Amino acid sequence: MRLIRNKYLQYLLVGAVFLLPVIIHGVPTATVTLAASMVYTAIAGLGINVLLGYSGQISLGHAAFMGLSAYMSAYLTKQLELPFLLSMLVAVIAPLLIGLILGAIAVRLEGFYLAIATLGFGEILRQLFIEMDWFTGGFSGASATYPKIFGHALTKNGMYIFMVGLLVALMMLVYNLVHSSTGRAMIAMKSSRTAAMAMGVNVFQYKLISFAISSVFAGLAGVCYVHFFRHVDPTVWTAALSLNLIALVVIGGAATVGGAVVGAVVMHGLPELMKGMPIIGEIPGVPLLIVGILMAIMLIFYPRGLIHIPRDIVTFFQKRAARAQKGDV
Amino acid sequence: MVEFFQQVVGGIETGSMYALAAMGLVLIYQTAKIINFSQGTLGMFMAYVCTGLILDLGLPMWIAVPVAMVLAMVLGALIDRFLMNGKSNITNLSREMITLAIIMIFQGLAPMLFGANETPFSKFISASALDIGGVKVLPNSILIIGITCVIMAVLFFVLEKTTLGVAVRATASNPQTARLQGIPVKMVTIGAWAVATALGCLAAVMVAPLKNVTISMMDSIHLNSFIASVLGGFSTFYGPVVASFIIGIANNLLGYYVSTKWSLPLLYALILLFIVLRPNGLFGKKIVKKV
Repeated sequence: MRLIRNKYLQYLLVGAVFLLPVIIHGVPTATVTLAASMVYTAIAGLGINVLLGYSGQISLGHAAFMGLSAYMSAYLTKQLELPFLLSMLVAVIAPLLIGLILGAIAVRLEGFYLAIATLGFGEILRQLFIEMDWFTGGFSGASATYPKIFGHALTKNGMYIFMVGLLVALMMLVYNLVHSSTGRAMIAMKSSRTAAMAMGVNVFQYKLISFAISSVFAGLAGVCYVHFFRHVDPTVWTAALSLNLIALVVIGGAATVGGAVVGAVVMHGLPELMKGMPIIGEIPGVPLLIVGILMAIMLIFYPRGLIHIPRDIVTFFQKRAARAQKGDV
Repeated sequence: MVEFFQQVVGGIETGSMYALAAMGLVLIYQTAKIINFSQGTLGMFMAYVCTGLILDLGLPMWIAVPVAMVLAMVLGALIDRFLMNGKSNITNLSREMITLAIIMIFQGLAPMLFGANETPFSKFISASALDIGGVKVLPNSILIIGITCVIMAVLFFVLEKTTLGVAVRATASNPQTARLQGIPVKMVTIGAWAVATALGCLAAVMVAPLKNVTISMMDSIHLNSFIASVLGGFSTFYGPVVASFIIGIANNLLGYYVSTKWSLPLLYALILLFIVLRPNGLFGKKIVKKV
């Protein structure tokens, strides 16, 4: 039992489950693609969870950060022919710098104002993606290849395995982060900024840290996206994606490490599942409709997030068992 | 100089659409303390309904639009009653997430009920442009600006001069105290949702002739009305309206004198800078937080 409770082991187990589509023979490649969508969204969602779930800041600009990294990585590997890992590093530093600037803005802004400021920022970036032809390829987009790591060229499955590895590593990183003094300071800042300041928490510093972390995660997700799908165009990085990232964190469970992963799986998996169904899938709009209805029902009746369901079921039965025992006595 | 006024008139026309949408956002924000992300989508859906009323039921436009607005009010009231307050212990964050869910629901419903094709939508008045001192103005634009001004005047009169307005403002300043004073806070938020959805519907119907009726027709209006609300300050009713016109006019002028491609990013950058320097918007007051 103790072994199951070990968080690192749990995260490795999540990784192993994600690897199933590659391990099992005869799984259609569409499934791998779907799973890859889940993994890259989960990576970005992890970052949003640090920002929203743990430190209580809202950003609607992170989709644009993902796009920025995706374009940069595509440009660096294709035009400048830099090695993948180096270009990944450079491509992640760009949103990090922007994240720091936004974090500095965030110190002055609260709640909705911050949300809209980041939204405006994201829209500016997206306009840049459309207009800067030489860098992004404009509306038609830029292309990239499967990466080469230490002279070893990855295939589609190889890239997917790399992404899953990254996801597991980042989950462990976030777990350690939120259980460190940094994490505690962030949580204190979320529940009351003034109280946190009174306790000696440097609010400026921790807002910057949480923005920086989430921007880096968004950047990594963007790099994963462009090297898995090998194509990037400006239609993907809209404010709607940023909203979806927030939604999946809330659906999965805010302020939990696994919440983003659960949310990403549900957000991508459910519409695909609906599309696959015989009658429902053929009417346009029905998958979206059903996901929307499920999301509303979830939020009204179970706002804590899907990830708490197993534990709640266990406590429910434990309580019942305890009551039954009392009844016997 | 004529060109300058031409751009200003165009800016006022788009600004009035932003203003209607922004007024809806602020009404809901002030009374229910949430941001309604679904405002644009609901407007889009109601524009489809309005098109259906005109094309399928053969109603003339001057009947179809008010009917669609009444339907929008009912829809808004139902959403507030059953989705926003379906259960007593929903947090405001959850409510905002539910408005995201509403986006999904109605973007799914629209192609299902009305088909995925773009539908053209005719103007209220299709007469040719009037020439006022060299500035060409379409009668339709005058109508749009006129309707917006009348609606704004009525709303501000109700908010400032009537008992109903006092109830709304009391709810906006403190829902708990308002309830203790015997103000039916729940009815106020339902009313706010109803009026806001109707305003969104009107904005969508106004923009429909320019963009056709599509799923994404309201995206840019919705975004700009958001930004206007922040620029004007969410804590006042008139701030967002003024800011909407500023954004509409500034966007046109930047487009004409600087660059069409870069007008919007440039405008957003300026607004961003402004928000950083004045975090509470043009007219907003600083909210002092107590521990």
